[in-house]
Amino acid sequence: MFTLTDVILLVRKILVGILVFLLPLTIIGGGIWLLMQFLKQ
Amino acid sequence: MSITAQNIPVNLKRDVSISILLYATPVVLLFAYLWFTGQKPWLTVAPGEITFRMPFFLESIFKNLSTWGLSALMIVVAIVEFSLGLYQKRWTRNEQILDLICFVLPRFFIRPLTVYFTLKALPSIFPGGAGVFSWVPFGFAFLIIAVADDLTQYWYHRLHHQIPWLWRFHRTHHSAPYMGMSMARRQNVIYTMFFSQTYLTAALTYFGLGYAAIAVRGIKSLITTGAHSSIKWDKPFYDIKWLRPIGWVMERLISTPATHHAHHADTTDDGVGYYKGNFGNMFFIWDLIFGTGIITRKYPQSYGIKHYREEEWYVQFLWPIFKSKKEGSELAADGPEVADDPVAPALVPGKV
Repeated sequence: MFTLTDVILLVRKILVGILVFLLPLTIIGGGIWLLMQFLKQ
Repeated sequence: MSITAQNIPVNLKRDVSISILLYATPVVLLFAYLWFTGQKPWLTVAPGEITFRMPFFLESIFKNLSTWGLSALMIVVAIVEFSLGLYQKRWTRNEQILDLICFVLPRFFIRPLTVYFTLKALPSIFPGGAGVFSWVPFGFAFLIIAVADDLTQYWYHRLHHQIPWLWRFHRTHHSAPYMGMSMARRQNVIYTMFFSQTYLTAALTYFGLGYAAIAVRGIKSLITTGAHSSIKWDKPFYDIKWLRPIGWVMERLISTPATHHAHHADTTDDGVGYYKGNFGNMFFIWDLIFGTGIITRKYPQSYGIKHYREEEWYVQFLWPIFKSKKEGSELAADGPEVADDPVAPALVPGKV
């Protein structure tokens, strides 16, 4: 019923989701942190 | 006036570059604001402190929307839709069970999942990160969350349409042969569980932008729910002369029944339906920026997917854990990733 192909499909799907989550988090979180560091100086 | 579906190109590299700029824009604006005003709010605002409060009635509306308010509103609108006969005879027993399960069940595990992510996983990954960005002024926090949440959902949604092996996780939302409140939350459980924007907004909430997230979430839920409604509330904005300027701006900025219904059409051949685009959820402007949207101010004749086999409700909800027994179904064990639409007899060579 639930095959290895399905597991691989799910893992790939979750990886795409993580990528779509991480890219904006890095830009926004990293951006705000960077501007803080810059303006602190 | 109208934007048509002719020759819309897909340029992933260009679109990712534009997205990086879009995500960075609110942060750059925040930087410019602090630079020119000389403010350093992190020196005076404690982590987790809320420095701005919305008017009480607004705050109450947004908080209630995120708990029981939206569900209550959807039920009321659904009753109106049903009494107006907008579901007609397409709301079969199988569709009813699927819509009801999708309306009720996900909230019992999505919320615990995001709460776990926010309260357990994030403090482990970013210890000391709780509330560190609480100093971000409300207006900027609102803009950051609105862009972050909705642009991320645009991409999540778009990829499920444009990457063939992802399509079946989103298919359940499109298999409904009608529009309305009953299908607004209809999704495969795996699709809902791994919504990237849910975790992004949860992370930004952990970092201190949570108060603005309540407002964004409230507004977004009203817009996306309204776009799925079978009540064409946007029509007066196209028909009544003095409302047209508002309609022109509205249909470009946010999702409306006209643009989102086009996304749920079962064909793109009539110049109205456009399931290959109009991916925006709260904001439609992403579709205009990336060239994936069409605006016609018309509503499709029929909805759903042409190759729908009325797959079992539990299969649509839980695929790939359960597979359909319907032969040739995309959700069957040996089914195709993306099925071909049936060809109308008049279009088959040799048949008239």
